[in-house]
Amino acid sequence: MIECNICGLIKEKKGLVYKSDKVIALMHPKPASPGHIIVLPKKHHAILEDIPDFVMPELFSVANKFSIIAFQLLQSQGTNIMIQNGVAAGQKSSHCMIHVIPRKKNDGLQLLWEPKQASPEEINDAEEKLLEQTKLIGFFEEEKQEKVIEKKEEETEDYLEKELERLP
Amino acid sequence: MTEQQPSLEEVKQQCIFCQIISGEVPSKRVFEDENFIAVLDINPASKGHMLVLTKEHYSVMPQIPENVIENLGKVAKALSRASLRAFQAQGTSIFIANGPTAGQRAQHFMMHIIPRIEDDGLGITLPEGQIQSEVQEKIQNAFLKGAEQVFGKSFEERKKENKEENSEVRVKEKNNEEEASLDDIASFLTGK
Repeated sequence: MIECNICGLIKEKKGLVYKSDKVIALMHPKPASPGHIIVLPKKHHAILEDIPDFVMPELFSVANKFSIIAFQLLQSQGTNIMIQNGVAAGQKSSHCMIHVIPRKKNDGLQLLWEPKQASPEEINDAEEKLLEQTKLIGFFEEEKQEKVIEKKEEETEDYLEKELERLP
Repeated sequence: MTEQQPSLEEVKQQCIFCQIISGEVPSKRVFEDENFIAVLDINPASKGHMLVLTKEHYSVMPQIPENVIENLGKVAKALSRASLRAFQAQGTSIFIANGPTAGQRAQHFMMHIIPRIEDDGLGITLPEGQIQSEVQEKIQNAFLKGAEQVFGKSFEERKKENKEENSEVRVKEKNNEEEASLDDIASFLTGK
């Protein structure tokens, strides 16, 4: 198996600027602009859809906070926060990440797309197809299970032990 | 002072996206929950291009309350998945611009979710740059310092890494005219 270059960076702690039990933020080794930060799940997940729901809040919160720091400390005049989700979207590493890119006037970065004119048919079709999918949204996976099970096991062990102790 | 900063109510009245949220301006609404609505972009980058808007009016992301940002993370993933499934897309670009310098054109916060197909030629690519290791380190120290303020001091790792440079990192550049505060950016967007 090919080692993920980002998992390598996480192990090395190269450019580390934030760390919790779920989320890591690093200086991008090849920054699009000075101060380019990547925020990523500590566990290896290839695409956004693989990241557990309960990791998403912290990922976004940390990305937002580094964007705030860029404004306050680096005198950034803007920030872009982006996810290149999938190779088709320009994802270069096999580890899903959020980019936080500090911007300055005339920094030469061109990240925007060319807006198109959509026909009413196209818009209606897109609406219909999306509504079919978005009506399923509402349940978000929560973190708990593992810990609860662990506790239960401990309890049963204790219980069994106690029961054993009670035996004459 | 002749020019007063407009009140939030006045800003809301002028904001086309607040009018979309209230329903005064028609839109193709494809998702709604407590904090957000998602509508189709009328000038999409690709078919199915969505705009995720906060129901409350915020000009830029740093103004949004923490719990709403956290929910935005969950919604981003859910809507990206919906987009992949709806259009058999091979990927999604999720994009936020804070400030006109970053390409923000509206005065209301939004997150773009753009379905992608290989070689669709949309751009939205990030160049890989090079940076001197000393500059990179200097910026890293600035971020560590900022992180300590923003996240609190509970992260041992950061403290350890940050220890050697207690000798005051110079993060502020000299030219103060270039300094852009969040308020400046927010008021620029709201057309002060």
